[in-house]
Amino acid sequence: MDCRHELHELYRFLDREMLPEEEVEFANHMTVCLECLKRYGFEWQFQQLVVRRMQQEEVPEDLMAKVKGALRLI
Amino acid sequence: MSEEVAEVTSRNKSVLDRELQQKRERFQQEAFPLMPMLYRTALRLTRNQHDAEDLVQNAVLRAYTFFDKFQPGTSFKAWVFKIMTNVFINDYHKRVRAPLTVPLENQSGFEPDPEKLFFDQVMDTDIKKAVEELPEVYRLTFLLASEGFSYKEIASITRANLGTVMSRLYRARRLLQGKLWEYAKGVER
Repeated sequence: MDCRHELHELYRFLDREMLPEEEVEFANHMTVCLECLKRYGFEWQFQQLVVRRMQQEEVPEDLMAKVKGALRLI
Repeated sequence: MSEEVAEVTSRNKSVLDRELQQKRERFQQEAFPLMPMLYRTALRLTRNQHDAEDLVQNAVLRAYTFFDKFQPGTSFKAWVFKIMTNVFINDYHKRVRAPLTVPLENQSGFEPDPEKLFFDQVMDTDIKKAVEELPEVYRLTFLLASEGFSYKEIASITRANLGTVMSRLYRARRLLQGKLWEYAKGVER
């Protein structure tokens, strides 16, 4: 892999942890580095997939009721 | 008790009741919208519904008890998640008598091939399973990141430094992709 970017950097970009100027630099890099661009596409899709699955869980109705009831007793 | 004293006492009591009710309402306004997030994180942490409900309930009640200590202007969401994380690490582990597992750093990495049909073959049940199989600290870090917390917030919630958060998140993603890749290959056969 002759790309100067580490996967750590790609994750920082993905997680919006970069400074604005770093973001621009990384985005520019991806216009010329196919490897990073593909990798970013994969990681982005992967994150979307997992987050979507994680968000499918619904709060059990009786839990809300239990919590409300318990708050009144404190 | 004279009538006068009784009246003052009852007036004080009703003032107190009203203040308590206001506090409860303020708290509920802040906390209840977070319930879905708290619950699904708890569910993946404890891996079963019963413990997840207990964990959320304990965390929310503790947050309410310490609501006066919450600093306005800071993130309430991060504050509540920090409380839930503490409850999980302290109480839950004590109860099930399992130490917090700290994984070895040399677990097998994984290089996914984005050209292959990875996303078509990964199933919902696999994702849940793969997340739950992650070593605990990685799982916690990953779940918090998935709920939109910044690295800095995750560092504060999990009491780790920024570098540790980044490397845990990195490891979590690599392990998760490795597992899902294995499942996907299993489907292929």
